[in-house]
Amino acid sequence: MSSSSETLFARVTRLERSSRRDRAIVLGVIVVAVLTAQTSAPQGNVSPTPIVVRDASGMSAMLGASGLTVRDASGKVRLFAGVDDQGRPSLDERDSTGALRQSMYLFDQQPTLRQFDALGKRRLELKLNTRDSGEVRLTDANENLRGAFFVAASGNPQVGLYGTDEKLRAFFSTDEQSPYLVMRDATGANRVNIGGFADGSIGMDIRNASNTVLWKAP
Amino acid sequence: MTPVEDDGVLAARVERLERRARIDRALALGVLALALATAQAPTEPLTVAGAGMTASIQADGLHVAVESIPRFAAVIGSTGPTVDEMQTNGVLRQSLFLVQESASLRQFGANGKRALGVELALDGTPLLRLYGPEGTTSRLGFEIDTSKRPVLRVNNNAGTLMGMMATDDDGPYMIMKDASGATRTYVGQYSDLSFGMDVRNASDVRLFKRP
Repeated sequence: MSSSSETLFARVTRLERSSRRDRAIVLGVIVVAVLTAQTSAPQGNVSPTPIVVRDASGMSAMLGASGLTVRDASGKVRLFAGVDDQGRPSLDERDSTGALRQSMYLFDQQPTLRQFDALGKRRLELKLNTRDSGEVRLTDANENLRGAFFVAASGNPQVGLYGTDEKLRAFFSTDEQSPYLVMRDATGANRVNIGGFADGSIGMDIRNASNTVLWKAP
Repeated sequence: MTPVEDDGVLAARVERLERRARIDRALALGVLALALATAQAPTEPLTVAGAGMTASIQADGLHVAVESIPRFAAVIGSTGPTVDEMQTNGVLRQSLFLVQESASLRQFGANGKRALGVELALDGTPLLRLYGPEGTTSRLGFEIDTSKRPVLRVNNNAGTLMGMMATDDDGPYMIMKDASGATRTYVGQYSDLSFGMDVRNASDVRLFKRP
C-alpha cells in the first residue's frame, strides 16, 4: 500500500469512529428531547405531551394528563389540582420545602380538607365521615384528637373536648327532647351533668368519682 | 484492486463519511437547540377563550375569568400557593392558601371581609373562627390554645372573651364572664381537682357554690 493509501485509511478510520460517536450523540439528544419536550400548544384538542408555561424566574405551570402542577422558581411543586397518584381528585398546597401543608381531596371517597403543621402532622380536618355526616376535628402535635364538632351515630350534633389521651372530657349535645352538657374526669366518670336527664327531667347535678350525686337541683 | 483504484475507493469513502459527519453534527446541534429552547426558555401563557370566559395557564398557575373579571385562580401567589374563588364583581369570597407556610381556608362576606377561618397558627395549632361583620374580631373560636388545651370560646363584638369551655387532662370547665372580664359563673373542675359550680359577683365574691 502506498503512503497516500495509508493516509486515506487513517482518515477513513478516524471518520468512521467520529461518525459512530456523532450518531450516538444525535440519538442521545433525540431521546432527551423527547423525554423533556414541552409543547407550547396542543396539536388540535389533545396534546400528547404536557403543556408547560414558564416565566423568566423559572416558575412554571404544567398541565398534564392528571391535572395542573405549579412549581416555584426552585422547581418545587407548590400546587397541584387534579387526580393524584392514587386516583383521588385532589387539591394540594405545599410549602417552600415541598412539604404538604393543606389538601382538599376525596379520602376513601369522602370529601376531606386536611391541614398539616411544619412537621407533617395532621392538625385540622374538615370532612364528611362514612355516614356522610360533617365533622371538624382538631388534633394536637401528636395527632391526638382534642376537639371535635360532629353529628354522632345517633344523629345528635355534638361538640366534644378531649384530653391528650383522646378520651372525651366534655361534650355538649342535644337529642329530640333536650340539650345536655356532660363533664368527665380523667377516668371517664361523669362529674357534672347539666340539661336533660334520661328520665326526661331537666336540671343539673355534680357527682364524685364513684358516681355518687353530691348535689342536684332541682 | 490496484493501489490507484484503492486510493479512489478510499477517497470516495472519505468524502462520503466527511459529508455524513457534517450532516450528523448539524442535526445534533439542531436537536440540542430545540430541546433547550422548548425545555428551558420562558413560554407564553396559553389561553382558551369562549362564551365570554377565558382560562389561562400562566407560569404562576391557572386563571379563569368571566367577562374579563377574575373568578377563579389556582396559583402561586404572593404568600404561597393559593386557590381563590371570586364572586361576579371580582370580590374574593373563598380562599384556600398558605400564609407564612401555614394552611388556611377563609371565607369572606360580600363586602370582602373575613367571615370564617379554618386554619393553623404559625406554630401549627388548629383554629376555627367565625368573625364579626368587620372581619377582624373573632366572635366564636374552636381551637387548641397556647396551653395546648382544646377550647370553645365566644367573644363579644369587641373581641373580649365572654364564655369558654375547655379541658386539660384532669378535667373540663366552663367559664362565663361579664363585659369587664370578671368571671361570674364557673362550672367543672377546680384547681384542687374537685368538681362543682359557683356564681360570683363583679368583685369575684362567690354568691353561690355547690356542692
